[in-house]
Amino acid sequence: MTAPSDFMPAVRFELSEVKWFDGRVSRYTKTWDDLDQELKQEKDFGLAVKKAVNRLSAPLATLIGDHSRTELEKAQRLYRHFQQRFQWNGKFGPFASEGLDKAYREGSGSVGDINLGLVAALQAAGFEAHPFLISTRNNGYPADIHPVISNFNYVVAHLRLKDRIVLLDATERLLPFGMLPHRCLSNKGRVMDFEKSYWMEIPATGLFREITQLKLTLDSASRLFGSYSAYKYDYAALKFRHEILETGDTAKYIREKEDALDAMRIVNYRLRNLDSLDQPMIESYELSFDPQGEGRGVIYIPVLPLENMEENPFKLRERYYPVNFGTGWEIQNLVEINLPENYRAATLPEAVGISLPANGGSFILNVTQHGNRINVLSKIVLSKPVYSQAEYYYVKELFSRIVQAQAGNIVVEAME
Amino acid sequence: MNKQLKWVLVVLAGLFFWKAGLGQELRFAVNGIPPELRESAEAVTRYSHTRILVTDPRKMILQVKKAVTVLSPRGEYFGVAHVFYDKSRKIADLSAEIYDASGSLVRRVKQKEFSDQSAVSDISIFEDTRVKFFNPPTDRYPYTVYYQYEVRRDDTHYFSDWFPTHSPLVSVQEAVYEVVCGPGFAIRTKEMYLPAAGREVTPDGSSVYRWHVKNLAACGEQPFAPPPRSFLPHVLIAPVNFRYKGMDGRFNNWEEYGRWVYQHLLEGRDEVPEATAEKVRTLVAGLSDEREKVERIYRFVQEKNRYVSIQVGIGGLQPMQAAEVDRLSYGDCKGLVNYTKALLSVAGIPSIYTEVAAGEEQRSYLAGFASFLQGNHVILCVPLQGDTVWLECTSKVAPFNYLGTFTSDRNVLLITPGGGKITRTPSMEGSYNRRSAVFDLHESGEASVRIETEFSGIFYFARHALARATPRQARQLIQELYPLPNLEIESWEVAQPEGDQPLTREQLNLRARGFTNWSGDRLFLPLNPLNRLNQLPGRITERKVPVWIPESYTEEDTFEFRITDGFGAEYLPDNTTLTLPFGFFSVRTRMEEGKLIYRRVLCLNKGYYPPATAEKINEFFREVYRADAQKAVLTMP
Repeated sequence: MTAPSDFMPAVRFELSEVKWFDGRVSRYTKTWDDLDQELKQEKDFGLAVKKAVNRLSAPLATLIGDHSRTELEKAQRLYRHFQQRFQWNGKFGPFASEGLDKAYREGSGSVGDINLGLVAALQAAGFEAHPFLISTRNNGYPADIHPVISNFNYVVAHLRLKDRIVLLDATERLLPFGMLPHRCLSNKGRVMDFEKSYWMEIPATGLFREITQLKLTLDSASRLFGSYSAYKYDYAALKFRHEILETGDTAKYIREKEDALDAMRIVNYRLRNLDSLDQPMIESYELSFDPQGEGRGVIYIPVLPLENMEENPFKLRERYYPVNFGTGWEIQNLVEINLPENYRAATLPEAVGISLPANGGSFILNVTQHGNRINVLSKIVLSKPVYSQAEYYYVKELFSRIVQAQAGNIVVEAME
Repeated sequence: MNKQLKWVLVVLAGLFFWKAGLGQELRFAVNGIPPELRESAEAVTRYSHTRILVTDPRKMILQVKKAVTVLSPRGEYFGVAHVFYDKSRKIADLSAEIYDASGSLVRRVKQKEFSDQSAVSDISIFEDTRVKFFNPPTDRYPYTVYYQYEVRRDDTHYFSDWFPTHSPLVSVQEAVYEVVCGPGFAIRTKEMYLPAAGREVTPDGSSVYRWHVKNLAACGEQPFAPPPRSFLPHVLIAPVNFRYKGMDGRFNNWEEYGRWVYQHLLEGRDEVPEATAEKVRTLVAGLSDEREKVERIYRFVQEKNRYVSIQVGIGGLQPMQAAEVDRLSYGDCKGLVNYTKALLSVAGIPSIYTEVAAGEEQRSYLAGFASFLQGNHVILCVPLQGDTVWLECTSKVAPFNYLGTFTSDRNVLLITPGGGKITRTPSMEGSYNRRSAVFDLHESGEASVRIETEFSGIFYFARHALARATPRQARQLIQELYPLPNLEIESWEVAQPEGDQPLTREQLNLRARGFTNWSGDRLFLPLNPLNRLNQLPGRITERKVPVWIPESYTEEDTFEFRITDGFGAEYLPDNTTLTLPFGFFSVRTRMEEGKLIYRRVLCLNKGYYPPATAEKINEFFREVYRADAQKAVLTMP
């Protein structure tokens, strides 16, 4: 979910004006037009960007190099430069706090320092770029009936390319070009085009997407061996890259995997595209394990030996606020099991297929047999980032079916 | 050469050497760390120099210089430059420097850039300890933090224990501890897992003790590791003569220590108002059994008072007056123990104020080495005919004579009028949780489940939260305790019946949809859905420290799965029994008419076992893990 304040009925007050004792009147809550002008002149916002544009043009010109590169490449290069150069100090806020120059020199600053700097750099390179004000997921949705600048606690760069709009946040080193960190996936933000600012929905900049393939062969000693590969995209890749960075040690990661499936052995563990952020992250390894069996030629193989969902994350009977994943999901798991000549599948789990109302998502699990090969396909799709309270029951039920279906087993028998 | 020039040259040379010395001291390139120190470490103390100067018993100066290289995000904690202070501990000088992996200076950090916050623990309502700290905002590993500070204090009763490293995740390249005692000041020292100090006497009569540690490799986090204090090298120091809050004192052993504490901090603080004394006399009137009297008074104290933690100045060591606790109905551990003791003495029952090191680490007072603050808590010892009763006075809910994992089975210090005496608290015996459950299985895959569980000994408080939860919280808690699929909770009850032994009883009625799973005409049935070992202790290749099992206990689970008549078992896991010095495990499964009976017993035996046991304990738990994940396969013939 996002911030609790998003769902609590409340009357919120905002200071509108003060009449001082000497008769002066100071107005606080204004129209967006007033605010546009004010932020344009604000020394830690509009003015900071304007000044930085002049100062950054020269040093960045060398970085961008000759003009033969495409517009997209140029923007990517600038973005990468800011990502690499800056160390985010963990501080939020849409305004510059250290000052753009100082922050750029030292390579460290707040959200405002880094991303307003990025806006300036993009402008210096001739792009149409503006600050995009955001209230993060934990901070609550911004009020939209009148401007409340204190609602916003974050700023990213809003960049107009020839064919599309791109939102850029340089505070995180692992983000691909054009993707926002999960904390920014709120509802909408304000594009601070100082001539005329406007609201914009925060678009889905990616999915939580993963495709895995497991190929197994059953040998005569009732042992399963084979290979596994997983392609992780967008937010799945981001999460995985963070995990690898945190653990810092794949050996430990492998051990945990081996423990997760009893007595599994992993060899040739490989990670590809760990540093190519715009490419899917690929994990692959070879594995072998002994499935459960009763020792007289009957073997039980879980339908998804590596990645079944064991628990329904949704437990409450009723839900009082929407389910907000931040992104859509797409998880596809393929398993192929090759049996020896004298074995056959005795029973296969029944196919399961359910959909959420109004194309909100679906789950299928299908187990088929072609000759001596068994194929399992499991696919979970959640097409929306947000589901309302009314949809909660369906989402919960979907997950409960997933847990149940993925706990299924394939029974394999030796033929007489 | 003229005199002035000579002087200038001498100064310059001095400056040069000083600089050179500093340069050498601050050479923090990461490649200067020997590889064996990096192996299991998340951080490495490159250099630390701790110096304590006591010129006379009224003044202690602590000087620290320390450089820590943080190797990974998990080591970040160890690279936070920090210093604690309060009214009696003043920071004289504090600064830090940050270096990158190549060892070049990234930035200097001034004292005013340090964050300053209260260092009050969660449970305290009034403390004045504060901490200044600086955590470099970086994710470029490795980096090095160098910091130095000086702290001055007026009291000399207590020297913090010196650890070259407090954590098995931190290696030490070089660490030096120096204590300089002026002519009028003497100390006693106790080295643990370290050679004795080198000692020098300077011409002015000061004694300089010096400990030096080089290349101490981290052993890494190890499952079932004993508390760090029982294998990491460290030094304890106690003053012979000291000053504390304006009082002078002197002790060489526990007896003398106890006498000083009794006379200066405890004696004469146990007066209670006559009204309360009268209440106590009424309370125990007509009771002949001493133990029963103690229990009545204990219950009275539990009901009347609540615990607050107040740690300020002398309040850190001296109890509040009993009359004050009586008036306020609250106090910290010292105040509540002193108060209970006062009430017991009204009833004519003597009892003893007892210092203890509370916590799961089971730290013992060192019989042969007396010093302040080996403990952090006090309890009350009531010696009765043939049987001693121990009272934890800070809890409103603890059973009578119950110490739990918090203070049981360790050396503690009795503070008697005649002096201090070391004794041992009893260990927790007969801890178990015993569960029996009946699963009624329906064709649809749904199961109705009745669970009854008894918790005893160290598990007495296992359902503390559930017993006090609102219905909504309780539902959530039960889902976490028993993660059955699609769980519906019909009823729950937690009771703590009075009896000889502390006991908690839980009764649940649940329903789980999709509990069993059909595959064709086979039914897959998870055999241990209620008490699964869900994580294996991590594996390590080279075990260096003993295996420690902190408490003995037994888990007994008996499940009865009621199924439709006619079902036969195609697959039941083999019965298993494992008997090892540290534990016992057995699983039995059998089919009866219309039901499947599963019984699992897991026992662990408290104790220290040789490092090589680690492999066996790993195998043991893998076996448990494997057995817990088993499913039975049933078919209708």
